[in-house]
Amino acid sequence: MPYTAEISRQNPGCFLFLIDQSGSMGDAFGGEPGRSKAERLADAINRLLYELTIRCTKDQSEGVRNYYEIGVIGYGGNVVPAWAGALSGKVLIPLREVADKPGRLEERRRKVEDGAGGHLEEAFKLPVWFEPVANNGTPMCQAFRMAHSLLEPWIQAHQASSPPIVINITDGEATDGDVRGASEPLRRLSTYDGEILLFNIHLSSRPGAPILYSDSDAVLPDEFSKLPFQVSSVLPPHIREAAKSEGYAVGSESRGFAFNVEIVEVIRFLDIGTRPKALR
Amino acid sequence: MQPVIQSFWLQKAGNSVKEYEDASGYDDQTHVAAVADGASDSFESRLWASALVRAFVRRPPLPDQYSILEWLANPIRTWKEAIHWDNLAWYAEEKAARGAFSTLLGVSLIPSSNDPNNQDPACYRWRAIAIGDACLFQLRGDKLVMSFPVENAADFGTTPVLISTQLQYSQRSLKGIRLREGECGRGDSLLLTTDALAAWLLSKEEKGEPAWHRIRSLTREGFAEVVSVAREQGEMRNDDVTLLLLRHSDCLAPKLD
Repeated sequence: MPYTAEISRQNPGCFLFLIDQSGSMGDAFGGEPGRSKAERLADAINRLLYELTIRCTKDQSEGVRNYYEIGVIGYGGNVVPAWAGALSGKVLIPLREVADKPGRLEERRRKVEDGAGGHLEEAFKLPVWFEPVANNGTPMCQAFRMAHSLLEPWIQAHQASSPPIVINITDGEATDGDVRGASEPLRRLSTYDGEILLFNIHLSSRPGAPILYSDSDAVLPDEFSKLPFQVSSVLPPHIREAAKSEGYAVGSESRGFAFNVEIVEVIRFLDIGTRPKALR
Repeated sequence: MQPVIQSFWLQKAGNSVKEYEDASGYDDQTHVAAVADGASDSFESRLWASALVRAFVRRPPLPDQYSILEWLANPIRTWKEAIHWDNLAWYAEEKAARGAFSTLLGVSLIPSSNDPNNQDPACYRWRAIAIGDACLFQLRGDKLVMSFPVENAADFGTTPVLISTQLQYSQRSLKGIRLREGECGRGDSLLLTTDALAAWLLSKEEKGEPAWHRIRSLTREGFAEVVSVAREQGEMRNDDVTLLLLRHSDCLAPKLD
């Protein structure tokens, strides 16, 4: 049965994020004014990596287990890996190295329960791996081609692994061609356990209803929304179950697709899409 | 009469021995036994499971939530003192702050010479405390007579109640504590097991293919063989396995209820 491989140190998983860094990402989300999409998305990815790292931390001697390799590609003025600091220039990075080399650590504060029914504030360190970028057009096709060239050797070297999950996050359309053709070689890469999963998140640019996990493009309003749907993979069982447990209505044909969403939905989608099966 | 105790364990297939996260312990003077299963996604789980088992075997708590909450102070201190808080990377600091979690099953055996209600000097009463899905099985010969706290194989697999280094969490989870008492007679055995082995044993029983006789007569190598085969056949979930086996072959059989 496909998509049943365990994530382990011998057979790690892989997440590759493709992040739109076009000029319009400098605007705020459609439904809520305030910080730009680029800022909020950078924050969401940083927090996702924060939680993923902590989830994979075992003990004092071993630190973080390399259950995953992570890549991030930004596409806007250029199409390049988006790691900063000590990781810049690198592409797919084992989780332990990601954990050990954030660009910087920010002091933040949060509220926690005080044990007597109230709350107190405590300091914690939030690592920052990505800074927001927003300029130029949307070379999404080139991003899909780069993803393919990065993942093809990884796939060859990890045939026993769960296939990589590629999550593309954009607020617009590709300005460099048709994404269906550009993403097809990527979508056809597979390990023994199944084909690569490509999920697409389209960020809200104007107020309107969000659409998530559709199983058909019949309900989608226009070509603008149908295209990302058509290049999105059907959810594998464990992610479908995760979406269900979060209250989403999903069926066996539901795809990893979110359209016209605000940042809260982005964060939930990313959490569901990267939720592990058991980690060995 | 002294119960005979044997201990078996095997780490998850694919993991090294150091990565085993269960714990078991027994004191053959005071006749207290315990097993614990550290949650694999918490920090220093093996350390926590060991601290709980050692603390239980050294001094079992009174069987009520309030006493147990007080009793937790010592194993929590043991866990905290073993962590080099000043030397932790940001991720270890955060993970450690979230605490460690484990199931726990503790059993005290009371020789009947201490029990004014029991006329037979050779038998034992037992008293068990369970938080989570580590299981106590009582066998009469090769027949299962009691399974605690889980009674059906289907009830494994859901998130068990866990006991934590976080006192607030433990306070809530102790509401789910289970308590039981019983008696051991001639030819009886008590098995303390963590969930992967417990689920397998119960499911074999339910399928009409009981495996108790195989488990009761094992060497260490035999145990590893039984577990490996069961894992390979997909009958046993791949997880750490732990078994404490206590036998009371010289007791007279008590009256059956």
